[in-house]
Amino acid sequence: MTALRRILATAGLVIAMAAPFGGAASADHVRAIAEVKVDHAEKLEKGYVLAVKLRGSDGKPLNTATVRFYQTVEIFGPREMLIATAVTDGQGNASIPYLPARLGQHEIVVRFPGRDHVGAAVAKHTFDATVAAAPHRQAVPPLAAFSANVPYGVGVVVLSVWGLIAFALFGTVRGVLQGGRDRAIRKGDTA
Amino acid sequence: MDARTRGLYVERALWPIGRGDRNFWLAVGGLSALVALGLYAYVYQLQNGLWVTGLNQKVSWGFYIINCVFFIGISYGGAMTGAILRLTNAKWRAPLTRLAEATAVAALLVGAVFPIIDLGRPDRFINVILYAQVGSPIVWDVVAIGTYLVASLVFLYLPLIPDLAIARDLLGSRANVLGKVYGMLSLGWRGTHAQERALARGVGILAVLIIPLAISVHSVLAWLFAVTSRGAWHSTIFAPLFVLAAVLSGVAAVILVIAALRKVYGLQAFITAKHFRYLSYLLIALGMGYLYFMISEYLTEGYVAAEEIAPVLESIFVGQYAPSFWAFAIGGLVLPLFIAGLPGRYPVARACLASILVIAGMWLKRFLIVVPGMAGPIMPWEWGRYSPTWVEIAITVGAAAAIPLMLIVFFRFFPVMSVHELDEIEGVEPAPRLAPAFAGGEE
Repeated sequence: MTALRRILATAGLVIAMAAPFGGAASADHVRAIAEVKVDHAEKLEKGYVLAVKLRGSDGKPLNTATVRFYQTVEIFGPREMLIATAVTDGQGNASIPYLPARLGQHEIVVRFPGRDHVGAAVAKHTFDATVAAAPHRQAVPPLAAFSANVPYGVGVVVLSVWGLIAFALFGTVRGVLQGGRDRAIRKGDTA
Repeated sequence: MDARTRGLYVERALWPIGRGDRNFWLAVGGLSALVALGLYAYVYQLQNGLWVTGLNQKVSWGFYIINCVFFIGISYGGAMTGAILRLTNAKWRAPLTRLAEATAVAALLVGAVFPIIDLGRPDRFINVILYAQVGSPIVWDVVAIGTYLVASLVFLYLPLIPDLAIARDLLGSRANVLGKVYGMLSLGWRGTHAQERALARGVGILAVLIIPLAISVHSVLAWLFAVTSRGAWHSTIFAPLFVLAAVLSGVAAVILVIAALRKVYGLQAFITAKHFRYLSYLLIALGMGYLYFMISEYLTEGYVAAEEIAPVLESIFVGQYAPSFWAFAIGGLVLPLFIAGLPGRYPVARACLASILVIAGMWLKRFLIVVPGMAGPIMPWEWGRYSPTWVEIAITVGAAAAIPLMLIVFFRFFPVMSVHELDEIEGVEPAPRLAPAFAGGEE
């Protein structure tokens, strides 16, 4: 009896796991289609507007769908960096403002993970950014000028020390050699 | 000092030169064997990599960095002893300064090698110079130690010049290689007014210079720790604490070196109990200063008990490092002060015993600075572990043996005590030179 229960329980689990991937769920399944568009913002310095139109394979717009905007970046290989999340309106449209961090080629990826009986969708769009945010400038910390010059100050001190050592050594060697050559009289003798 | 005593002093100062009796060769053989063991361990480490040591990702500084700080500290103490005795014109300094200065150089040569041993790949040391970052304490260290080494060598050489002339006159001859070397190195010294003036100026400059230089070297070593973002090291008092520890262990090492060479070279008539008493007073003063600094450090840090340091302090006072700490605090700091300070008989033996305890204690203290500071986690991970392997122990023993070996070999070729300084202090006229001056002088 216990063995039978075990077999039935295992079979039930298999059926439960299979359900989301097929069976009843696949009967009215709709494929999602996403289209990405990139436009300049109204004010040029504001950058771009990244827009996506999401519709089902039946042509109907998908509203209140959560989409994610990514930018492809290189960090130990290509990675997707999340820019923002948006929700589509009644027409299946969603958009976000975007000011790139740098100029040049950008690849935007929009992902819709799917919901209920609607499958996932991915769309990519590449554009050449001619507007970008001003490079980040770190605020000048207090005493920055002092800190920047410390190595030079220390360098001068180190060179002075080396100069003193050299003076002590070579000055003494020269003095002793010269003093030896002079017909000077030994300490304590009178001239 | 009468002429006979001075003659005896000169004889004893030059006595070790060229001597190679059985005891000398036994000492050289024994010490060389230990140095060879250390070299073998180092070659083994070179061939197999740092994994043969107890160093690991969490505790990446161990015996090697402890030894670096320890031996450079000893060197510093030797240099300071020599410089302070000169600057204060201590009348009793003559037999001691040469030994102190030679100890400083030998210990520095040993200590300066340890960062390279710690690198694992010695060829990478060149990167410190090729890609030097002026903001890096490692670069500060290389500059400071290099400068200090050159200054110490010059500080050892300059006062040797008149004594080399005596050795040249009394021992050497032009036909003899050693005589030629003495002749060259003594620069034709004849003791003229001009030569005395030049020498006094050079030695004076270096005696003044060596003190701030040595302080800077040990301060930089301390800052190597203190500017690192580790709670146990991030202390404002580290530089003076390191400097005081260095002088304390250095004076203790000088006492031991003097006691050993006094015995070996028969210098008892010139290095007397008085010298050991004075050096013991110095040891006591420095020890009490260090005790005060240490209490100040632990009291302030322990009272605040910041999150990043409290576990480290706990491990030191009552945890896994407590045996080392209390052995250092009581056996290596408080007890030696009593041993050296109490009046009574056997001042030399007591000074030596106190010095041995201080040296062992100060090595333990460096261990307590380096290892718990590294093992204590700065992220919520478990503690790091460090157990030295035979490789690290063998290299440490070899390095420790290298210092007396270098001293014995050095004093086989150079006068062990300064005759010129004795003449200066006693106001004795130098004896007539026996050989013509090196630089073409006509006598």
